[in-house]
Amino acid sequence: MRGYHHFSLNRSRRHLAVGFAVILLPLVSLIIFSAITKLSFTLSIANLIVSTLRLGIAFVIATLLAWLLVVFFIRGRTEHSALAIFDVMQSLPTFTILPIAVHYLGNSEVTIILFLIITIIWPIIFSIVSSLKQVDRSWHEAVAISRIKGLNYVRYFLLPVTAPGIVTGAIIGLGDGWEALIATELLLQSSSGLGPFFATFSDNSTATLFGVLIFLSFIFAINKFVWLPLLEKSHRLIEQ
Amino acid sequence: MAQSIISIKNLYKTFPREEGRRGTEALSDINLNIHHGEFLVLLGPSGCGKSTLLRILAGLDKKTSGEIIYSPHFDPSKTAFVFQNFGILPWLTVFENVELNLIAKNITKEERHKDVRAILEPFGLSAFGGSFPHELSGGMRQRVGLARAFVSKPDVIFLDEPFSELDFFTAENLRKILLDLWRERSATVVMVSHYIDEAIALADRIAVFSDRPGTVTEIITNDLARPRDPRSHEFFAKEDEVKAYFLR
Repeated sequence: MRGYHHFSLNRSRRHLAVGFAVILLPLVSLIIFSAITKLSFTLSIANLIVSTLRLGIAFVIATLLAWLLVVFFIRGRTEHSALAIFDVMQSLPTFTILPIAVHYLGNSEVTIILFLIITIIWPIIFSIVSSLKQVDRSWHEAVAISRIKGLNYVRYFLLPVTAPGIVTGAIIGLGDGWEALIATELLLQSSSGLGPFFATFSDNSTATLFGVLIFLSFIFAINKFVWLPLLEKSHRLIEQ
Repeated sequence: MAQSIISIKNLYKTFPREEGRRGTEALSDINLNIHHGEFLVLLGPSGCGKSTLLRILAGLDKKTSGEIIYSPHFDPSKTAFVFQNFGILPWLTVFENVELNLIAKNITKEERHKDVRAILEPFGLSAFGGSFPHELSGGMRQRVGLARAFVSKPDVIFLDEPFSELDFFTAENLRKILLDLWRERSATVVMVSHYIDEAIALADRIAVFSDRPGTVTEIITNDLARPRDPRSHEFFAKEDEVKAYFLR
């Protein structure tokens, strides 16, 4: 029977209705926000897009890097030492090295994206590691017996078994990423993005409240329409 | 004298000790010749190391010491393995799972698909090519496992208790298909089992294993005429003979 005991995180009508409302909510909020702050709607949306782009680029690089690090180091003799190193590095308070990064890279887009990568990468790494640990031994052996290698090995085995980890890590990592993004934009006094946008209206609680509402509804919409379906799909991939 | 495709000499396997535990000796002084084209069953109680030996022979595990001599006719790329828990990949369809063992071969996609379709038929899977494993029963999943093993036309097939998780009727049916394909393909089959009647029904020879650490205590030639009738006097006599080795 197709679809037997699948996850149903995004299947109910209620969820779909809420999801639909959530698409409109950021836009309506943004219009109200623009009216209160007397800022143009275009400028408001431009700042949201700039921040989203920064986070998006950082996310793509962090995901690729995390996947490669796990695939190449979490196996055989390097596994224990790699895990120990990753654990220590993820505990490092990233903002303590911000002044050094600024010294070498300046108040640039590269610094912001680098900081986002450092923040996002750890949950993705550990989620992918967790996915690999759950792989049934017989799957590994079936693939070994088939002697597929190279890109076929990645396509038929590595990507499907790491997909749930990538998605779970992405959800956690992006949550941390938004927080780090706004803080980094503020600390680096970036001229664009959500950080300086919120800073400008820090003494206007109504504007800030609406800003946060837009921000939350935007994140909720992304989770609802991108991450939850992907999470469901990726888990279905390895459902036995 | 039958030609050996694999010769095992003084093979030992000890699993290294984990923290706070002593190492486990799984296999001790295994000596066994596997003949070309035969159906050999490794028979013994659970945990006696039969599956470990099978995995070592298939290259899925390493021996601790001893020798495995493969004949010049043995081609590692022409082997297949059938897992007790099926070992089929849940993210691939039935068709793709079977095709997996052909992907590394130097054949065209059209040939691959033709071979897959040809092997799905005797296993009754033709209508299920697009299904995913979670949509299938245990018996159907093991059909996929067997089809995947046979699709690459292997010279040697290793089977690790392939029917132990299946109901009686499904297991009987699959044993028959296995025997038919073995005869048709002239492959060498090495199968692990802990069922005496299954071993007698299928095997040319039965290697009897002792309890852990496993060692081959006896090799019984099973020359009962095929097809074998499990209710025949000869079958019962053979069963008594095999049982006697375990009761010693």
